[in-house]
Amino acid sequence: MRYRVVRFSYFVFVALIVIRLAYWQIIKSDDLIAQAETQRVRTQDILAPRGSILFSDGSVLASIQPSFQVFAQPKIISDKLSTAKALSQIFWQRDATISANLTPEEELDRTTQIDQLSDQINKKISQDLYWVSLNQTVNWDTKQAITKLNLPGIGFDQNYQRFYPEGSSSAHMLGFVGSDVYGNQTGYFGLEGTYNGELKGLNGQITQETDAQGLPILIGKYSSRDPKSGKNLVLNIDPAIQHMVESELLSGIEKYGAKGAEGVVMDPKTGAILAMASYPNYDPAKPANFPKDYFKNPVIADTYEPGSTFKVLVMAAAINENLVTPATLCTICGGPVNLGGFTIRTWNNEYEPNSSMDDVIIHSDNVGMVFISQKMGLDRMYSYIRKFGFGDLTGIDLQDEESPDLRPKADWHDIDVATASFGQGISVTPIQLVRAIATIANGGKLMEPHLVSQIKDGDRTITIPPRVISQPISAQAAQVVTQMMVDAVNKGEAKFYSLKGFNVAGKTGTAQIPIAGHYDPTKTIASFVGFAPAEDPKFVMLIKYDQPSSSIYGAETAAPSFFKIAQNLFTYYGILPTEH
Amino acid sequence: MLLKKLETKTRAHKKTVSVFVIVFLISIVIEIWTANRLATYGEKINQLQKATEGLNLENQLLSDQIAMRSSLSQTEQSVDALGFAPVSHLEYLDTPAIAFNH
Repeated sequence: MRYRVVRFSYFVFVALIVIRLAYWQIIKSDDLIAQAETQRVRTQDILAPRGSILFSDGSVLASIQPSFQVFAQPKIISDKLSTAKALSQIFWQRDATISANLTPEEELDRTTQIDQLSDQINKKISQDLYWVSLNQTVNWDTKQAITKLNLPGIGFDQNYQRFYPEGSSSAHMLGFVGSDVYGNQTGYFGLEGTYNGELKGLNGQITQETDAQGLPILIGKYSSRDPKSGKNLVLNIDPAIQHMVESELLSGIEKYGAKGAEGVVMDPKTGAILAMASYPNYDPAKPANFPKDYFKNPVIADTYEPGSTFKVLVMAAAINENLVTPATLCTICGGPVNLGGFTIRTWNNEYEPNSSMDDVIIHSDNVGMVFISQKMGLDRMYSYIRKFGFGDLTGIDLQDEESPDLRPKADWHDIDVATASFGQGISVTPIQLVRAIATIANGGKLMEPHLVSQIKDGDRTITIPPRVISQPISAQAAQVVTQMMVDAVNKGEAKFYSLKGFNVAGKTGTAQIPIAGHYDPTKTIASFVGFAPAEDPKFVMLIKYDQPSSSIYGAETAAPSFFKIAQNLFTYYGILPTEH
Repeated sequence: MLLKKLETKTRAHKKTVSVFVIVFLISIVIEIWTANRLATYGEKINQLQKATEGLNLENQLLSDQIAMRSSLSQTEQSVDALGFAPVSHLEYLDTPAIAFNH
């Protein structure tokens, strides 16, 4: 009996061992192999840097810089309090602007802030965890300062963040880089958003067998996938011109007490955007510090009534249709015009009977424009507004572009045709207006505006060619209107700022702002649009101030800024005056 | 005669076994030596990988420094500090209508 019990126990024991072995080797086989792999095979991601955004001369507008996420291993840290204190000092110094002579209050404030930071860090590293992030991203210098302290249990994870050598320059055009829902870097707004697919790279990976100490085994398993860096964008933006426009707009805002300002410079022959700036802007390195309203690029997304700058386009349409010539006399310009119960006056309430069309542009005569609109009629007027690209997106390579809707033709009345002729009751974006004016500078051809000229992917370069959209007016009509715009500069309201010896074609604009169904007489949008040299235009430029307070007129605010930048551009391009 | 033949055969067999043993021992020594060398190479590979990462990082930091120091905003600050001022008045020179002899 005893023998049987022993034999039975022995069989049960063997059976249990067999079952257990079967469990480990058959059922749990895959899991155990995977566990073993993780112990002896190390997989490491290699970060692919985001592509750079370069100016037309190859200088850097946005690049990347290494950043380091600080983490702690609480189990290794023995003296948690002194570690927290040491780190808090460094983190505080990084964030604060330190003055050499602190007042007693400031000193107290500093001590309180450091103590608070120290408490926060101490709480984190006192947790019963193996690894904890300190939620601090530091740059190379700060990392070096922390490393020098030789604190046990403090480490760094390397990453990349955007770096802007020119600071907040071109913020609206650039957009910014943030994290998406998966924590991956993603571009938002501007070029970062539009070209996110090109700019983001593809991370690489190294898989290699390691020994007990975690060191790679030379003859062990090894596989790698190289990281693919993001593509670089080369812009049409010229850094010198961008700097000229930004400096002038900033000083103009201060000088004219404006709420905001925008400036665009474009090559009329190719549609290449040479400069694009707008204020107020934001810091693309710290977008979270600014309200969301700041992210919209006003040059492509803000709509306004163009006012008198629109007159040259209506004039170009009328000349193209052979309805008028510069010498055609206005038969209704002797006084205000009554239309559909509204009275239309000139901006200064002065009237010139029998003004020529040239005079109408020179003196920015609203009544003269009504005369043209009556000759044009709704069909032709509407058709040309569409032909000049209003009501449609310009196709600029920025994702946040908006186009104000053009009212359906059936909703237009005589008064609407009349007011549209002098740029009231119609909304445009600055980029739409610049492109339309560039048509006159480019022999009547409408171009697609473009910021990016090349996409560079290693040795491969993709060049984006200029694109002609259409030809709304003939080259002859464009030439005639160009001369009228030159006369407007030399004899019009902005003649005091014109540059001697240079043929600049331009037009002032002072548009009232519609508020609650009526126009506010004190708030205007002052602008000046033009191109030069008129005989062979190198640039077309729009300068716009929002609600300037020193003067409401474009001739006294936007025009001086325009001519100051134009003067610098002539020197920059080496264009000599025809007389001096 | 048969005994002599058997003796020679046994001696040859012993010789073969001895050669096998010696080769086996040498192989073990080589294996241990190789394993030992490879263990050291792991450390070396690690050091080389870290050196590559360090150099890439340094390259990036230097590129960033070049970009920062050659930026227009930085240049503007430098020229201001050096006392340069914007040109306030431009003079254009006439090109003579005739060519001069040198």
